[in-house]
Amino acid sequence: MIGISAFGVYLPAYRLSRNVIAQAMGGRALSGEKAVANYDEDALTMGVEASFECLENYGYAWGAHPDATKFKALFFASSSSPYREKQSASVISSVLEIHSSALVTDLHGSLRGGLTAIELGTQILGDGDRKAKVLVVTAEKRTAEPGSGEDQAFGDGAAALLLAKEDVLASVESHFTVGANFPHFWRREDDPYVRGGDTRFVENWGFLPLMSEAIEGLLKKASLKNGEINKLVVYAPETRLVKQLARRLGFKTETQLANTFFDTVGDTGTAQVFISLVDALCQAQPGDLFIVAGYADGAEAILLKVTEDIRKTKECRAVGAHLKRARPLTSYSKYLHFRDMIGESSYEAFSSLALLWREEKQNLKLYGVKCRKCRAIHFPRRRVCDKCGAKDEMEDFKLSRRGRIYTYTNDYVYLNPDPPETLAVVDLDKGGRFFGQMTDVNPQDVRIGMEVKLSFRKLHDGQGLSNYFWKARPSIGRE
Amino acid sequence: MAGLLKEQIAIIGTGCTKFGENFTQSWADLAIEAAVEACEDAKIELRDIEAAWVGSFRPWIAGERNTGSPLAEALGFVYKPVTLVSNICATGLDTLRNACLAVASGMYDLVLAIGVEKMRDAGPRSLSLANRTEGHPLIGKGRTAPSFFASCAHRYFHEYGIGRETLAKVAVKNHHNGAMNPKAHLQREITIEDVLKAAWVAEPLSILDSTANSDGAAAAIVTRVDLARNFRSDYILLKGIGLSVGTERNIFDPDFDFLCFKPTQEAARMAYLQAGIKSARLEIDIAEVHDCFTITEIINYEDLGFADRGKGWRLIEEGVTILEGKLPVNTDGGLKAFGHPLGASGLRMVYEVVKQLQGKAGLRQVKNARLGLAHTLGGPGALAAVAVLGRSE
Repeated sequence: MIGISAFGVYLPAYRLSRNVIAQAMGGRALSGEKAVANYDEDALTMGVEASFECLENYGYAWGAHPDATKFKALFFASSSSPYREKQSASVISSVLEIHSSALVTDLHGSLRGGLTAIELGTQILGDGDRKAKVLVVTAEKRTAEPGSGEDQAFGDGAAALLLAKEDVLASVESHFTVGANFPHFWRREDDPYVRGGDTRFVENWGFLPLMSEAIEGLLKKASLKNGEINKLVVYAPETRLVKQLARRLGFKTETQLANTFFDTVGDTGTAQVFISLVDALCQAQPGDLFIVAGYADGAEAILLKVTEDIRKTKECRAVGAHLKRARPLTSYSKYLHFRDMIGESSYEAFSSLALLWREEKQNLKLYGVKCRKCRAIHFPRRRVCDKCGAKDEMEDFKLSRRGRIYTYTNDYVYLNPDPPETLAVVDLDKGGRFFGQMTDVNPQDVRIGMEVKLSFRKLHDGQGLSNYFWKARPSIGRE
Repeated sequence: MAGLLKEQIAIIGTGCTKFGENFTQSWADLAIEAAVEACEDAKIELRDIEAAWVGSFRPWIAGERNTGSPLAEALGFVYKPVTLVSNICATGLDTLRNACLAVASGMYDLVLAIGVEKMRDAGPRSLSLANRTEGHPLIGKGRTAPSFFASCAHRYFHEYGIGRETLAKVAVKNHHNGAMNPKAHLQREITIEDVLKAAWVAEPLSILDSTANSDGAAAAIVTRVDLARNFRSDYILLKGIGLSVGTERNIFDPDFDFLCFKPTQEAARMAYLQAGIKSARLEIDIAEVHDCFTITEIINYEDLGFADRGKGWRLIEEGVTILEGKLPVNTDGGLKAFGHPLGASGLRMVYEVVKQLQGKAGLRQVKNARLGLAHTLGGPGALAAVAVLGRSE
């Protein structure tokens, strides 16, 4: 059996009401709100967060994959990777300490990349041994033209699925692809924003017929009738369109359609169908049949069968915890500032490619050192112990990502698009201390003793590099 | 080792510019003004100086080179030995220390220690944001001087139960002293209410809990004690000087409590040992301490031994450190009101201590001050210097 063994999602903390967009830019507001990445987040960092949640839900402690060499592949599917050239997957793989023997790659360009990754992962696992694993990460931070319909629709978020041959929660039973050169959304080399085709045209000649073909093809291949399907989980550029698709195929929109989260999160592109699937899995019963369908450049559908193991996921963190921590972003200009569309920072930071490369273990994987002589824990890493003077007597020490605030401040001098900047001194659970920025927090809620988690973020763009590091953020749910 | 400098070194001249937003003055203008005043005070000519140490933390932000040359250029001091000293906020006192060591070595008889900092050519936020643009690209990124000391203040509040009003009293005291000082950057009285109502810099510190961002320079002429009487009778003795340099990564050290600064304690221990001081709180008559923020002055009281751990706040509450108190601190206004051009501050403190010991401090004169202390603290409590100065008779 090959299938999904664990899932994780990540939604950014901020929500932008569509009314706020309409008030700022004119036009009619769609209903609800959308999830918006903080200024220090991109598809890569959100992908890291979703991956953490997925691996932790599986039971892997941070930094300790007992069978790391069993990771056969890591796919990062996104149409908004922060890199035009260079993988995001390799960065995620480094942070997660996936073994270098794994096949690690990005799947760019099409919103159904996540479904493609599942199909590729399933094939790779077919050749692997019993312990083999594949991690599929999807994340999106797409930017639309301010004031456009897409600006209201697009939300940011991420989801990750662990594919394996054991502990399977939902087995992949069948797969069906319809390829087509149909441009519904696209972004060319120099386009600052995602473009969308004429709505009536792309919906009636693209989305509806192509998705129908894939879903009907899958049903036929599996010899199933639509009434036998418990949940239809489909990519949803908009709620209305999904309902239209379900009706066209004869599905009951009230009971058979999975939650698309369009009104609370928005169209998160590649990640959307995964987020929707995670939510559906959280409510699934053993034996349930799901169709999961992705769209763009054709359509792709898979059939999942939920197993008995689904009962083990009751305590898993999922979409709900992320919805609960929502904080309103009340200003459209702040949203533009978060996305570097307005505002400019003169005070470019120093950085160095060689320095970042030398310190990858410390800065991406969060390894400090522990002195063999006096057992003192040092982060940042050092060769000579400043407690006992021992030289080159250090062993690696992986920091915990969880800790409590020892002291803090809200700083109004440091520049960031979301002032004041909260600075936190965090004593980490297993020893060592983190000193750095805090994010996703209401400054007035910060307290000495508060529990926080370290989150992978982009600190700055100094020297034309994406300088990723860690910040503290409030825990999400029972994290 | 200890006692090498004891009673060997004398300061025979001091100079100090007005601190402030000296937009009409260049780095060189500041250096000339302080050096010339020090020379006139010592009744010597610039050309009499054999060697110079110049303290300037960031000369490059004022368009100067990061070498001894800007001073040689400014003072026409070419082809003599000039050394640049840069040790963050301890720069000024470390400059004095190096000059004193050179004289003590016997290599030179008459040397100049000068601190110069031209802050305001680089804009008001240049220093606050230095850690954003400079240094390690990731580690500790986001720290500013205010945010570090504000974190200390939150922890101090948490441990000892004091609040912003106590901190405000430090600012009120130092502004009161500064208002009597024609060379201070900020010469106005303020109230506790003013401090509490001022704009945040980093919670719980407001702009009035914070030092001013100033241009300025200060200088001292140093010679051997046996030569000092040839210049003046009221020369001042360097009785002890200590420098302690730790790591700026102390902020990551789980043992660091954010309530005291080990470098201050160590630098004080060194200076007190040389000066033969057993009890600083009983023996020191006046002190200039590093009050970059109000909380820092209170922590300094404890680290310098003026108060026990956790009791520093009592000195300000009980009026011990006001001008008329038992141990007046920052009689010239301190960093808070006098201003803080980084490399100059340590020598500015020396200037005030010398004037107080010579009985030339004007309206701020403390009666019968015989032993004075200067203290500077740099980075996130990462390094510190302490000097003890005394009357010659």
